[in-house]
Amino acid sequence: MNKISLTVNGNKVEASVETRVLLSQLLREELGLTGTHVGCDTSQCGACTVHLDGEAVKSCSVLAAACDGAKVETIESLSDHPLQEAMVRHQGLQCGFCTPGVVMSGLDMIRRHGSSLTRERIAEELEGNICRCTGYRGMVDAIYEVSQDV
Amino acid sequence: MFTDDVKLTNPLHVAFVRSQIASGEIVELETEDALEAEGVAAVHTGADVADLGSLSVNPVLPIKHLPPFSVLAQATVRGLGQPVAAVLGETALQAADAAELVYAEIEPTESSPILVAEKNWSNAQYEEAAAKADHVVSCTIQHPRLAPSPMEPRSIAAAYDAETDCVTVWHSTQTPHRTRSELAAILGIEAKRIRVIAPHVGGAFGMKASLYPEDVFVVWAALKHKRDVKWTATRSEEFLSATHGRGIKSEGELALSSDGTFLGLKAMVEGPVGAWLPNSGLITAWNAARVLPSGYAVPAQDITTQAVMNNLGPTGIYRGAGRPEANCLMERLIDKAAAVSGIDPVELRRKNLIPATALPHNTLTGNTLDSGDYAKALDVLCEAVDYPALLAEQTRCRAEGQLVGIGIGFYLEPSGNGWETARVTLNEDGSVVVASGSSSQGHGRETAFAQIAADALNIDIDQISVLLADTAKTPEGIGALASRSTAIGGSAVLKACEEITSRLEASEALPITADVRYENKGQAWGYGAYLAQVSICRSTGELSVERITCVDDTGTIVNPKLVEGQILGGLAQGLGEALMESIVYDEDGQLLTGSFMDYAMPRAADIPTIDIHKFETPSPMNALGAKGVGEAGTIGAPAAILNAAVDALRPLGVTDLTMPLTSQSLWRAIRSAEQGKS
Repeated sequence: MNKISLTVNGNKVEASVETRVLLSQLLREELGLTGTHVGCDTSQCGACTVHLDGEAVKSCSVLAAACDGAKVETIESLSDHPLQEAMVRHQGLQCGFCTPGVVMSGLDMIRRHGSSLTRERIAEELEGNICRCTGYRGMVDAIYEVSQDV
Repeated sequence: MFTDDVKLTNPLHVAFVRSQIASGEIVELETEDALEAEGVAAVHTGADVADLGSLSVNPVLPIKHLPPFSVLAQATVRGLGQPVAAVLGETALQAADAAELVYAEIEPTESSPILVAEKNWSNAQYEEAAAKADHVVSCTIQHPRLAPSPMEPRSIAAAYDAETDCVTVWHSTQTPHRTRSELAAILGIEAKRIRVIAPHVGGAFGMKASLYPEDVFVVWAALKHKRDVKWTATRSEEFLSATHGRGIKSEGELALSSDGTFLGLKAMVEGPVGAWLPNSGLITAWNAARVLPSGYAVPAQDITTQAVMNNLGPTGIYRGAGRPEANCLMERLIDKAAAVSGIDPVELRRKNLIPATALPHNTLTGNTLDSGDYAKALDVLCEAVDYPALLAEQTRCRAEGQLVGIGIGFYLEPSGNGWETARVTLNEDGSVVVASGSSSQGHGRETAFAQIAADALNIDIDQISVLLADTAKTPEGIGALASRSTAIGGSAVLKACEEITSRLEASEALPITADVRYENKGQAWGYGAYLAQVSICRSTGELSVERITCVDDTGTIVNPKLVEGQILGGLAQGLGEALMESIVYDEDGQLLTGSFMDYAMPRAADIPTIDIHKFETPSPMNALGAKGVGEAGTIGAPAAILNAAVDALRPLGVTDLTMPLTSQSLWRAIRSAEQGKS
């Protein structure tokens, strides 16, 4: 067992985890933060995307034991964020399962590129997030709109 | 909240041991080591569940052979990935570890396909029509086998209540009421001991329409061990054991006269079914035949469909469920007919589409095409894209040696038949509760139903709350299937609201509750026409979809934004079938595409420019006048893209291509065409 201490959504968290436990499992099963979703087991779908020390990562591809001292932000750290509102307005979601990952990826794009983001760039960078419902148009529009206000 | 997010009390977690052999006899099944592993509460095998009942199957085709439904394999294994044992562990990891310790020796056996169901519709004049025809074209389409892949894998959680000996089941399903009735029948218990809730469901697309053996096991185990039990599939388990779609092979022959008049259609459809039949297991083979000959007038018809059992994964309905297959066959045949007769593809379609004045029209396959103006869809499409200019541009590009194609796909989309329920209550404080037996997996049904009620009762939409998918709180219903929910469920809501209005007028005191079980007059047939423009790189075979233009008549529209969402999402899935998706097994029946690393699905950058146009012809078949739209994109897009790809390579002499249209397959087609010429 590995004793770790980290900051999740601004809260200090201490946990004791098996080495094989993934960050996604720690968040969902130990901390009850079920907004982070798991849609595959090969780090393709991106539904589990969170911010680790300020950068977007797929939390299913990070060992929880490696997060000692880290700062993690999940979808639960946001409420009524402009990107969440834009996703609704542009119908960037249907079933909502991939949405937390898309929002966390979108915020990371906006942080890195700001208003220089283009729709083409957003579509390319969404490579790591699979959505089966929407055909992506609404979520690209939502991320683009918010990026232009930065 | 999704099913896997539900907090249970000290639940047992299930890990299934699955057969690695597609067809075989279980020689030995050793469970002792697993039982002794840390945190393991129980290990079950087929003998423990041998007495359970079977899943019901919708008999849309006459059944000749009904494959057995086993919750865990009995002596025989009939499909790759079939569960042969189940481990119940205190944690998911402990259950998964212990499952590795179960030793299953399965002796492979030879297996041959079994005919499960068959039907023919014929007016016995096809051969005569073909003999008189100036042209007879033929076509075989092998649709790729597809993984529906809703982003939320299957998931079920059962909470056991010791006081009442009842279970509450959270289930990621399209049909919560059916989950309840089927569970009761299979487990042999009263339905009142089961409450089913479908919380947020992360996509379904037909794959979550039926109960699975794994689902039955979880609820059986909760009742058996008197504990909470849960199971969530991994994505690999989804590829292996959740139902696949398409995979249908359609062969057709179209006979026509020199002026382009269709004289006869002969079609043979073969649909694969797996080791067991889900409730809707015969729907696809049925639809792929009975939606023929689409919206066209064809005097002589001879249409046969067969459902044939094999030992690959189970198959079921997947968004479109036979509609894409039927429409794609017609649209390919028509493009071939256009090529041999020299008639423009749009003209040839317009000439043979059933005119608006001839609707409603009864088809040989037992349908009533209810309403609309099919040729108008083509007219609107041609105007939207400026078709003559498009053809001129293609001629110019071809002169420069570019491989550019234009493809059209006209489609029909029948929506479901039958009934759905609504219970609407107008409270004393003016608030309204709309409860329905229908369900929603991201369609926005809650929004549409609230709009229908707000309009009918003339109140603010914020006063309305919508309850779906909880068997304890909603009236018995069918659920979300076959693009039926707005047309039938929405009509039920409308009728219930109308009843409230008339009871109010009769001075009845509040609260007033109206319970309605609405039955439609018949299927509402949506339709439309899609046009795809593609270009293909001669040296690499890479296909680019430049633009897709859609025209849909979805009847009365409740919410244009939701309709657009359905078209865009369906179109992305149709694009996936056309360009990249394919489940592949090797010769031994082993799955080669077992994860998202091997199975390609459209990403954001794969989506082309899409223009959506529409007009509305209300359907006379339901109170709202709505038609289905949930499957439009999956039907129209593959036909249009496939036709466009063949059109692009037509100057090289290519007449047929097989989906998915990957760079490799197109490169091969280009090379062999060029070698054939030299």
